[in-house]
Amino acid sequence: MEIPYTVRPRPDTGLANPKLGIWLFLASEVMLFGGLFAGYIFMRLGAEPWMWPKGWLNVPVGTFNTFVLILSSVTVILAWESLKLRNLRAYKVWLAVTWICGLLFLTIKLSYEWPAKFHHFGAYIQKTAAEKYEPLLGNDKHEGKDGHIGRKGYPRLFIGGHLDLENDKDAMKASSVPFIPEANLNSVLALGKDEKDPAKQAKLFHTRDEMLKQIVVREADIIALKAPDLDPKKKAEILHRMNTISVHKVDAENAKPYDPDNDKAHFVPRDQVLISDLGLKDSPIVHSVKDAKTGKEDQHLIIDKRDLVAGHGPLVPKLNTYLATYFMITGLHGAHVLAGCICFIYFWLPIKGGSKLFYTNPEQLCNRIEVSGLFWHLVDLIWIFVFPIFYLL
Amino acid sequence: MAQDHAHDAHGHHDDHGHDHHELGFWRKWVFSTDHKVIGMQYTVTGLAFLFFGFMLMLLMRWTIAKGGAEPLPTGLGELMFNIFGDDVFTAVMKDGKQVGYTLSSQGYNVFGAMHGTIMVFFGIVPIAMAGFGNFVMPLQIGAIDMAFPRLNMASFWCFFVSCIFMVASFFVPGSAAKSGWTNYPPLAGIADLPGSVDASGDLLGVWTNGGTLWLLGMVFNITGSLLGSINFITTIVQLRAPGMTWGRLPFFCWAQFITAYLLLLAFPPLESAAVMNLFDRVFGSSFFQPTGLVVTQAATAAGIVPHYSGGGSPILWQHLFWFLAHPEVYVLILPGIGMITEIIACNTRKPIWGYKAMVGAVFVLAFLSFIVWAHHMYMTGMGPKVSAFFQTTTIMISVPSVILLTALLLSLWGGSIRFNTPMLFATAFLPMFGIGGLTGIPLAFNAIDLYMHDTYYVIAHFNNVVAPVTIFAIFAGCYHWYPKATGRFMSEFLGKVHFWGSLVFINILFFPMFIQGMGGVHRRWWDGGLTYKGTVENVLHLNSWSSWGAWGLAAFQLVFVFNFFYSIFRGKKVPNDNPWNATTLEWDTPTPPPHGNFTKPITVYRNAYEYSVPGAEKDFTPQSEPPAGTPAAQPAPAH
Amino acid sequence: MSDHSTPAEHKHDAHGHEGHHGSLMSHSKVYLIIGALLFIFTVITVALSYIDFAHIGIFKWAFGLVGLKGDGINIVIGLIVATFKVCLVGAWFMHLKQETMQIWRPLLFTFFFVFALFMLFVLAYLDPIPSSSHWFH
Ligand code: HEM
Ligand SMILES: [Cu+2]
Repeated sequence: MEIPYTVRPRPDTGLANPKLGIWLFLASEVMLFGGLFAGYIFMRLGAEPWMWPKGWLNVPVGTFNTFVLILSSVTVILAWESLKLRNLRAYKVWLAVTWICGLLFLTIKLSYEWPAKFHHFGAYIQKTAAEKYEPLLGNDKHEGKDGHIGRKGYPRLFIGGHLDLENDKDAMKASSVPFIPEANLNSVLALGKDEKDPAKQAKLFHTRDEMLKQIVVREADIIALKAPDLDPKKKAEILHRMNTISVHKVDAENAKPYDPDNDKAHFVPRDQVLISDLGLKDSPIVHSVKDAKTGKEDQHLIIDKRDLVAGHGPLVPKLNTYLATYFMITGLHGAHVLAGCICFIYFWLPIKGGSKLFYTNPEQLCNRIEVSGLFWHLVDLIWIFVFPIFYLL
Repeated sequence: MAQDHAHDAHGHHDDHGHDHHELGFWRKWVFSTDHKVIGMQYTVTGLAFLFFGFMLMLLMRWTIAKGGAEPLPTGLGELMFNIFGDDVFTAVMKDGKQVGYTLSSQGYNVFGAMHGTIMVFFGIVPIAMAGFGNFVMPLQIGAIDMAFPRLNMASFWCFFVSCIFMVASFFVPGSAAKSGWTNYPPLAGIADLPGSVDASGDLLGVWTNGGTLWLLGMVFNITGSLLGSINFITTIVQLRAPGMTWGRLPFFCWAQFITAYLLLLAFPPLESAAVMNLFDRVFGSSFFQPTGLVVTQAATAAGIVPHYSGGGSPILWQHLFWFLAHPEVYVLILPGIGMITEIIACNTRKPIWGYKAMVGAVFVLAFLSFIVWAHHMYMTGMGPKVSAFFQTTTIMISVPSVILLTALLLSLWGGSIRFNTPMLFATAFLPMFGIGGLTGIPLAFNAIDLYMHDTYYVIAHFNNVVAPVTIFAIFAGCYHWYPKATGRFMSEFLGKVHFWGSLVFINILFFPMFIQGMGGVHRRWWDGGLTYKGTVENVLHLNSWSSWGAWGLAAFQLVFVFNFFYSIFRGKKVPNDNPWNATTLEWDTPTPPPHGNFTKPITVYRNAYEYSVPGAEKDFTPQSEPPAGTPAAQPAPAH
Repeated sequence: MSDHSTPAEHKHDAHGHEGHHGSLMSHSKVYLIIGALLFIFTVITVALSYIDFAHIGIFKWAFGLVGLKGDGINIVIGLIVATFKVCLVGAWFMHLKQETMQIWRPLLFTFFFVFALFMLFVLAYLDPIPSSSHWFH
C-alpha cells in the first residue's frame, strides 16, 4: 500500500504531499512566532522605560551569527540545486556547510551568549534608595538633550556586575534569593518541631530542609541554623548573608557618570571594575571582606536587598521582561536550529534515508532537501527579525 | 485522459491490496498507522475523558446543590477522598464528629478547571475532529489512508502524552490546576507556585505541580493537534479520489477541512502563550504578572512570593488565549455540524438544501472567527473603538451560523424521514443549536455583556452549544458509523432510551442556568451562591433542579456505555456494506474496512447527496456509481 | 512508488517544477546575489541602529506625522529593512515567486491573521476606557 503523490506532484494541484505539508507547518510556525512577537510588543510597551535595557547583547557576535545563518541559507539551496543536477558530491559539500553553519550558530549561543548572562548580575535600586548608591548610579546633574535626567526622564537605577561562577557561587545564589524577613525564616525553622506523629514530622522536616536549601546561601549555614542552640549573633550573621548581595566587581559603566544620550552601549564588551579601584573606601555601601579561600582582604559592594525592586540577580528571565522575551524567543529559535541541523545531518549521512537515497530515488532526496530547506529558510527568516529587535533597537 | 489518470492512480491497489502481511497486535491496535485505528484510538480515549470530565462535574453539582456543606453519600465520599486526597476533598464535621467527605472549596476550583479543560481539549476535539475525522474523512474522499500515516500516529501519541500529564496532575502535591479552563493569570501564575507548601505540608516541585503540568499537557496537546491538522488538510487536498471535485466533497469533509485550518492557525499563539506561562511558573519571569501585584503569603511559609520583574500583562494572556479559544468553539461545533449534515441527508433521503451556501457559510465563519476574540474581554476595560469593532464582527459571525442552521432545517422539509437513533439526535441538535447560538447574540453587545459576563447565563450559553449540540452530534455519529467500524448496529431500543433521557435531562440541567444567570448568579461559586444569598436568593432553588438534571443525565449515559460495549459482541449484524443506503464513499468499503480501505478502484461520478433522484431506480445513488448506460463516461477533472 | 503524474496532457502541469531543469546554472548565480544582498542589508541594519533618527529633523517630522517619536522611529526603520530582507528570502530562497495559489492562499490568510493579531492587540492597548485604571499602572 503506497500513499500517492509522496514524491511526484499531483497533476491537478501541482503539489506533492510533503511540499503542501511543510508549507502548512510553516504557516503554523508563523503564527507561533507571531504570538511570541506579540508578547514582545506587549512587554516592551508595558515595561518601565528604565527597565527595558539597551546594548546588553554583543552586537558583533550577533551580526556574525546573522552572517552564519544567511550563509547556511544560501548553501542549503545550492545543495538542493546540486541534487537537481544530480551532482552528489556538490550536494554533500553544500549540505555539510549548511549544518556546520547551523551548529556553529548554536555553539556560539550555547558557549558564549546564553552563559554570559548567567555570569552577570544585575540589580534595580529603588528610587527611594538611589541617594545611597549614587556613587555607582552617577545620576548627579546629568541632563539629557531633552532637558531631563536620564533616558526618557528616568534616572539610572541599575547596577550590573560580574559573577565569577566558580568563586562566587554563594554570591550568585545570594543575589537571586529574595529578601527574607527573620520572622519568615523562623516559621520555616519551626516546621515540624512540635509534630507528634513521627511520619508527619519526617515529612515536615523534609519540607523544611528543602525550603532552607532554597533560601539559605551556604550549606554550612543550613546546618548551623538547624542546630538546637543557635546563637542569636550567628543567626543575625546568616540573615545578613541571605539578605545582602556582595560583589567585588561592577560594570565599567557603573563607574562612570550616567550620560543618557549615550545610552546605547553597542560594541561595548562589558568591562569590569574592581570595587577597590573605585576609591569608595569610606562609603557605607562598601565593606572590607576577607576571601574565604585566599584569605586576602578585598573591598566589596554590599547591597541591601530591601533597597532593590523585585528584579535582581543573574541576567536570567526572572530579572526583567526583556530577558524573559529574549530567552524565550532565542531559545525556541535555537530549538528550531537544532531540529534543522538534525534533519540535515540525517540526510547527509550515507544511510538509507540519507544520501544513499540518491542511488535509488534521487527525486525523493531532492524533495527532502527542498522541504527541510524551506524549514531552514523560515528559521533564518525569524532570525532576521529577532536580531534587530533584541540586539539593535 | 483524466479517466486514464483515474485508473492509474488507484490501479495498483489490486496488486498491493492483498499482499500486506498480517501485523501483530501491537502494530495493529496500538502503534498503528492506519487512519481508522487511530480514529478509534482517539474516539475511545476521548470518550473516556468525556465521562471523566462529566464525573468531575457531577461531584461539583453536589456541592452546588447542597451549598457546600453536606457530605457526599457514604462510600462515595470515602472513595473520592482516597483517590484524590486531602487537597481536593475535606472531612465534614457535625457536632465534633466526622460524618463524611465532600469537595473542598479548593477542590471545587480544581474540578472546575479540569472539567472545562478535559471536556474541550481532551473530550470533544479529540472525538469530533480527530476521532471521526480520522476514521471517516479519508474514506469519504476515497483515499487509502492519510497523507502522512506516521505523522498521524505521532499526533495521537503526542495527544496521549498530554493525557498522561493531565491525569497525573491530579496526583501531585496540591492537586491539579485551579485557575479555570481559561487559565487566567495572575492566578494562573501564582496558584501552586513551585517552592510553596500545600495544605498538607508537601512542597510543590518545580515541574510537578498542577499549574505547570497543565501547561505541559497543553503544549503537547497543541503540538498533536497541529500535526493532525496539517495531515487533514494535505489529505483532503491531495488524496481525493479521481472525480472527487471540491463541489462533490461531502459536507463533513468540508467541515473537517475548515476545522483543520482553524486549529492550524489559531492554536500556535496559545502554544506560545503556554510557553510564556511556563516561563513565568518555572523560571520566575513575569509575562503575565502585573507590576505591584500583592499576593497573600499564607501558603508559603518562607514567604517565597513570586518574584515580579514588572511590566507583565494579564491581558496579554487573555488576548492570546481567546485568539485560539474563539476559533476553538468553532472547532467544537463544525465537525458536529458536518456529522449532522451527513446523517440528515441520509435519513431524510433527500439532498442537503443549500450545500453551496453551507460551504460558503463555513468559510465566512472560519474567517470571521479569527477577528472576534475580544468579545470575551469586554470587561478588561477595552475602549469603545476596539469594542465597537469586536461587537460588529461578532454580530456578523452569527449570520453564517444562522445560514448553517437554516439550511439544515430546510433540509428536513418534505423528506420521508427515517427516525432512527442517529436521526433523533440529529433532529434534536437543530433546536438546541438554535437556543445555544441565539443566546450568544445578546452577549455580543458590550452593554449587555458587562452584566452577563461570568454569570451562569454565559455558562448556559456555551454549555447549550457544546453539550446538547456537539455531544449530541458525537452520539449521532457513534450510532451512525458504528456499523461501519464494527459490522454491527448499536441497539436501537437502548439508543432511543438514551436519546429521550438525555434530551429531557440535559434541558433540565442547562435551562435553569439562563434564569439564574440573569438573576445574577456568578460562575465559580463553589457553594452555589450561599455566600451571596442576599442578592440571588430567588433563583438559588434552581441549583437543585440543575443538579437533578445532571444526575438524571448521568444515569442515561450509562445506557450508552452499556450499549457501546454490548453491541460490539451482541449487536445486530449488518446485512451488507451499506446498511443505511447512503451515498458517500465510506459505505463503498468492506465492513470493517481493511488496511488500505477500498477493494476496488474508486472513481467519483456525482455529487455527495444524490438521494431520491427523480427517475433513478433506487432512492440513493452512490457517488461511485457511473452514470447509467455510460460506465466509461468522462468524469469531471478533479480540481 | 506512485508515479502517477501522468503527464503533460494535464493543463495544470504548467506550474510544475520540472521547468527548472533548463536554466539551473543561472539560478545559482541568482542565489548568490540574493545572499550577498542579505549580507549587505545586515550591515545596513546594524549601521542604521547607530543613527538616532529622533534627533534628525526631517525624520522627526515625517514620522511625527504618523505619531511616532523617539526610539519608535528607529524601530520602524529597522523593521522595514528586516521586512525587506525577509521578502528576499521568501521570494527567491523559498521560491514564493513562482509558487502557485495553492501555496499562496493559506499563506495570505496566515499573514492577514498575524497582522490582525498584532494590530488588534496594539489597538486594544492604545484604546482604554478613558480614566480607567485597567492597564499596567
Ligand atoms: C452564534 C453565534 C455566537 C455568538 C454571537 C456568541 C457570542 C459569545 C460571547 C459574546 C461570549 C462571551 C460571553 C462572556 O464571557 O461574557 C461567548 C462565550 C462563549 N461561547 Fe459563544 N457565541 C456564539 C456561538 C458559540 C458556539 C457555536 C460555541 C461553541 C460551540 C460557543 C461557545 C462559547 C464558549 C465556550 C463561551 C465561553 C467561554 C468562557 O468564558 O469560559 N459560542 N459567546
Ligand atoms: Cu467567542
